[in-house]
Amino acid sequence: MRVLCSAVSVALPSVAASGEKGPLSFHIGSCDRCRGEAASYAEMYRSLDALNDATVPAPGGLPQRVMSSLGPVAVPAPAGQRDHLVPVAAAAAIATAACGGAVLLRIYRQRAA
Amino acid sequence: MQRQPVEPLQPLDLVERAREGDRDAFGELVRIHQHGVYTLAVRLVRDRDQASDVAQDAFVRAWRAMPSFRGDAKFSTWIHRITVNTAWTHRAKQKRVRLDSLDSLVEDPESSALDPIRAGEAASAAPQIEDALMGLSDSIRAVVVLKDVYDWSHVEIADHLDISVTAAKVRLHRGRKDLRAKLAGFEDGAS
Repeated sequence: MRVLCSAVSVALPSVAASGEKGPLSFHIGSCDRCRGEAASYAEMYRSLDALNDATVPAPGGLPQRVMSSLGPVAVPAPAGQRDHLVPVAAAAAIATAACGGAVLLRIYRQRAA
Repeated sequence: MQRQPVEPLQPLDLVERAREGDRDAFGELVRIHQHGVYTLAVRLVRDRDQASDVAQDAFVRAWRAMPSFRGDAKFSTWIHRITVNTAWTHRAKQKRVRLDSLDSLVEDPESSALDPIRAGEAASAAPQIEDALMGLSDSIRAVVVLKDVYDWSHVEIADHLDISVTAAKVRLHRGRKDLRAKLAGFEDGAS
């Protein structure tokens, strides 16, 4: 194998995939061996591309198996249903702060006495 | 009274309804996409039984994640990404199991679990290319399949397979060369 052919051979997988042979085109056009290799890559990429449309039939009952194993989905509540949570959360925060304040006050008084 | 014909649901309606927790709509999406998802799973994990588990798991994950699906990608693209992640998780588990059960494989020479030719037999109308693909190692085949069959970018492939972009490119180059060599081998064998 000529040095140039081995260099082309290394580059061919990517070059043939892009379809742009660029500076290699002159050599590929004049070398039977490299032309044949480029053609076989092109054929391979066509076959691979065709696989995108080919499907393997899923085993029967797959949808049923999927549906039977679904748990509840975490559906976000609509904005209107969440509005009432705001005052509840605020009231809870105020109550917690008040309780904490009362406990601290009691401790302070006990120490003072 | 004459009944009005029921308008078939469009995929976009289905996706929107599934996002809101409609099981029937999601079930319809599963029926529509089951073959595509299963096909991708077979190409990634080879073994058909395992591919069936991967497909099922991928749909269950998709159902859980439906509320976060924003529709900026097609549903098919989204479910394919989930399938790749699921297949890779299964592969990692399978590798651990395989180490534990090498003895049982030796005892069961008829097992098709690791037989690329059998796994590829019914794969499609292009058995040669499928068989050649199945002869590649998992990590190489995944890159070739995602790039040359599903047209993913190097960055997407690297991201989903948890490898660097350079590693993705190297594996792709090697995979393409190996694949061509295998195809040439088939042709030589046929002639």
